[in-house]
Amino acid sequence: MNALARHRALSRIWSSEPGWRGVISTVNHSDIGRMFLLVATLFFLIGGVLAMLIRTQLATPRSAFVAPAIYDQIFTMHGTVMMFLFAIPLFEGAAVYLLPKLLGTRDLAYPRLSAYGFWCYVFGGLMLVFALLAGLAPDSGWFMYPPLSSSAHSPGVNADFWLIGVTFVEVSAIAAAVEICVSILKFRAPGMSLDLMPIFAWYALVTALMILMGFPPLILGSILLELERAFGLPFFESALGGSPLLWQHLFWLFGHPEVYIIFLPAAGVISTVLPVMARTTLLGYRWVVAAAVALAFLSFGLWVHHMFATGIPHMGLAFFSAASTLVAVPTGIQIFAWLGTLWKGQPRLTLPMLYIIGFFFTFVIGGLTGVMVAIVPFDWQAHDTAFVTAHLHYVLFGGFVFPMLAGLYYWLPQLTGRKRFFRIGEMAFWLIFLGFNGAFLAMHWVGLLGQRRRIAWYPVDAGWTAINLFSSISSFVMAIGVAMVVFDIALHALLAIRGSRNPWGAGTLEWAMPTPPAAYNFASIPIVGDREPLARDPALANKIARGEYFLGEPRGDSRETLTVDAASGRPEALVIFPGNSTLPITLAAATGAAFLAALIRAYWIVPLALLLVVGISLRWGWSQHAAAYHGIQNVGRATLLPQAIETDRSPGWWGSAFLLGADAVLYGSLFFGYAFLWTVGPNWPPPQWLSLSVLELAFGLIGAAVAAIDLHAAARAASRSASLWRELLIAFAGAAMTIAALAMALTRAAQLTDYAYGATIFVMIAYALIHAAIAAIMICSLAYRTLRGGAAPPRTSNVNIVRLWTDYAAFVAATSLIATQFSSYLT
Amino acid sequence: MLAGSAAIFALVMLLLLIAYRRTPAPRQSEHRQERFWLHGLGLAFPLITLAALLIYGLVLGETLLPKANENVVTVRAEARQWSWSFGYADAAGLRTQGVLHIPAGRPVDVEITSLDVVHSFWAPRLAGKLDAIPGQVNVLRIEAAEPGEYHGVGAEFSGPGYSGDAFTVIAHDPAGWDAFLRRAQQ
Amino acid sequence: MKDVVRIVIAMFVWLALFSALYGLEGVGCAAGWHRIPVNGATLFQAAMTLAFFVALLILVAVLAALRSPRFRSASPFVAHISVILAVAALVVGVWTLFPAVALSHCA
Repeated sequence: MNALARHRALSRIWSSEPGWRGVISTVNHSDIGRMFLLVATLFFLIGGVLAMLIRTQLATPRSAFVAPAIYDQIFTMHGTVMMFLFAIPLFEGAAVYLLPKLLGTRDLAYPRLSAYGFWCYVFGGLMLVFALLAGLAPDSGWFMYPPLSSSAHSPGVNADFWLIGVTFVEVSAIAAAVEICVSILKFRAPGMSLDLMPIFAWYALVTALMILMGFPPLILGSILLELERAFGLPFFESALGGSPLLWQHLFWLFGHPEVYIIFLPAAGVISTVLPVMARTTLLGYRWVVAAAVALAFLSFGLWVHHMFATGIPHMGLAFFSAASTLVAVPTGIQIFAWLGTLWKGQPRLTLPMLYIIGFFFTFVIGGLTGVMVAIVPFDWQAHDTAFVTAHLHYVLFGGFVFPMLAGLYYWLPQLTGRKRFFRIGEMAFWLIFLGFNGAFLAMHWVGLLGQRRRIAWYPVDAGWTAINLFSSISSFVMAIGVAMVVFDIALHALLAIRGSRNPWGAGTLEWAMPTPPAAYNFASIPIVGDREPLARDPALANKIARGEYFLGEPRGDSRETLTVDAASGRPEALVIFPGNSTLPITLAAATGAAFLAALIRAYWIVPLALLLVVGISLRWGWSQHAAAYHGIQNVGRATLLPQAIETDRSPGWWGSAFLLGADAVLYGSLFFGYAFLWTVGPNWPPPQWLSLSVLELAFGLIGAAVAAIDLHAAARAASRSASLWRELLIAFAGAAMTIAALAMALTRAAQLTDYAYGATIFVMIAYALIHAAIAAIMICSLAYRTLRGGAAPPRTSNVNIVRLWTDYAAFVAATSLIATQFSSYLT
Repeated sequence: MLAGSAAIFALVMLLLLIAYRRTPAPRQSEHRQERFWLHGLGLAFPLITLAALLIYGLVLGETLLPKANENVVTVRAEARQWSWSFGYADAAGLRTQGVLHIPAGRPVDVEITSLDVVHSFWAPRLAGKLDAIPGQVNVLRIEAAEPGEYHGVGAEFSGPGYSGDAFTVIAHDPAGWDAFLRRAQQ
Repeated sequence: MKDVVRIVIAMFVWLALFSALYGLEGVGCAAGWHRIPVNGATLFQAAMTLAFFVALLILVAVLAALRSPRFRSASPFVAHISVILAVAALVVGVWTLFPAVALSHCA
């Protein structure tokens, strides 16, 4: 088969459908990546317009531009849109588009999950945009502190839009994070061991792990606040045993890692682009990887620095002040690694490099002011002033927007296959750079003069007018620059002439394919032996196209790729991907229906929507079950590999493991909340405790143990190809016992929910109940497949996945029963 | 801090500039380059600077805490949307609205709380800020060196009236403070 | 996958210890341990000091384990990075936790 015939055959297999049908049914990562990037850019523009409205209001002292009530919606939405609807999705889009290409594979681990994540993002984002246009936008600030955001002080539906819309969008982020983790660890080109991975993949892996650990506390907090607003469960109300500080802890446990989740991918872009611009390799690859990992973990130890003014004892503050100063070290290692790389090589002044220089200037200033606010006495003055607003824009704009613009112009030839012709980009850069610094540099000063953040007007005699006016004018200059970038990209995409395949002379695999890329990325999956495969072998692209490596002979209609061992990159299994499907958008719509019903308080719809979600999920889970072929397959180069779903731990198992990791963090946050209210919260102990029920405890624990043990037995039976239905029946009985016990405990806890203690144990028991139900549904579904038998009984990999969920459900049931039933013994 | 930051910023920009202007030097081994850039500039330099700054900040923070002191006057600040009312330990039953009276030259402990949402008590020339949280009392040590009027604002976003959330602190000399307390007794 | 664990384990242990010490400080102050005398000092001081040294010991143990032939990775790259991060975790531990033994209590 020659290269052209191969290209045609693979294109036929991998292509999405044409037109709008293709948009709603595509599962291809290049399509979905582009869709994410486009929608994220739209939200950036919306957030930018909101920023211009803010600056218009603040240009003059007692501006009559908008009333404070509207202004509060504007600045809340500016922060919300930028943080949730722009920054994270832009990273997702870049990662989804680039990672399979960088890693030398054909798609991400779960193509339909990529699409589901995208549609959840779109539907959640639409909810928030609707709120904005209808004048119902949240107005308590983007961090939504109660009691201001509680129903007493925010009676309308505005805050609910935030809580529900943002949670919906976060489902998308969790889905993407799970997929990115599994893809980077398992879906790589053979030979690409961990130390040969492109540096961007390391950053993306670290970021995805951070999302899995950092988003659950906010998801929990949002659920709790919505329960408080809708049903009066007083988690954050001091008078009833709750505490407003609990929200702050949960929010900032998310909020601080969030800004590093935003920075690290941008640092990954710089680590990729800067060495190419300097015509050399990155200095200190190992140190940069270690610095990224250290930064990720350290960032989880900083959250209280947003709470320095809340009355926490000085020793507690000191832990976080120390960690907050220390975080400058791994950041500095990366900065100096980049500077050292420039010194090592021969840097050229291209447009991406111009943006990187802009990054150095801006981000370093932001980092230095960050160290200042890490010092507690300084923060006691600077907190909640425009100084902080200036700092955060320096690190976010400098540390994220500039690097991403550098990445945009760097990868543009790869995306479009065209050559940059118009020189609008350089002019746009200067407008953005000068406009940004004009808007925010003097803002530091006016903050130190006493201007608070989030004010709608300021006194005429404060002496702040000149700086505010200059800042506002500069922000408009910046906006013009941004508009020019949009215009430039549009012109380029529509009119520019075709360019060469690797104009920068880069060494990574995304440049070893035709541009714009084909739907299948690589005609054959290459063997990698170097960090810069293309630099080592400039003829690599042709060899790949000629099918000299793995999977160069398409088989029937199958979309095929390989998984590898996570550390060594040794090929392990053959994966057959699903084709185009409308299941993702349908599931996203069903999920959205559940969220929307909760938003409009039509609660009777919620169980119906959830039923739909369960039904679609089951259909989704089993649709790949009957494989095209069985047993060991030849994947090229005389290599024989099993199919991934016929191994013990399929990619689905790993995905479940990572997802359950995030779930466990949410559960841990719930225990944290419980411990916090018990020890530090005012108005404890509650008027009434949950009394111990030995029946519930025994039923629950025994049922959990039975279910878990029998799933283990079922897994052993499946690996012997024996019948499972006896073990599954007993496991189901165990799950049913646990569900009954938890349901009884739940009805008792429901009597106590007018106090924070009762509300907390209610949520704990409900969480366990939900997970027990999930496990029961999965066991039923396995049993049904077993009894139906036929050509496709459940495989060991399916049973192992259900075993994982059952183990987790059993653990949660046991710990929540023990914690809640014995709670009256706490003094 | 400003001087130090400016110096560090200048260093980074200088290194960036020089990267462009210098001709590639005779190849230093990658290992030596790593030692200079990563271990020297990346690790040693920030660790030393930050350690000094952290110790300074923590020592300073310790001195600002409301430690036991016989000379302390205690007052109470209650925040609500969007005004402040103040009470006085030395003048039971007295409440003032929007104006806090304190003696100058003596440490004053302000017991801060809120009646509704989270606010923050901030008189910039007297001390840093401390949040007013419903259901709990936070104590802030302030001291006015000289008698006079000091401006204060609420410093935590608290709703549409937040921009105008302000109060005044009047620091009296010893005679004025006695007079104030005596007026309160009547 | 074990290599990934080797890389992250040291900093993960630091984060757990950091959270535990902060939690201990919160519980201790709320429970009034700084008012309970113990051996000339207070229960709070004893608890925080003990926790600080135990934490450092654990971090040293993690470093030793990652360098030992039994637990170290076969890949020189992974072994090197995991040791860098284990040393870093120890330094971070001392740096971020020393307030437990140096600062005033519950003020």
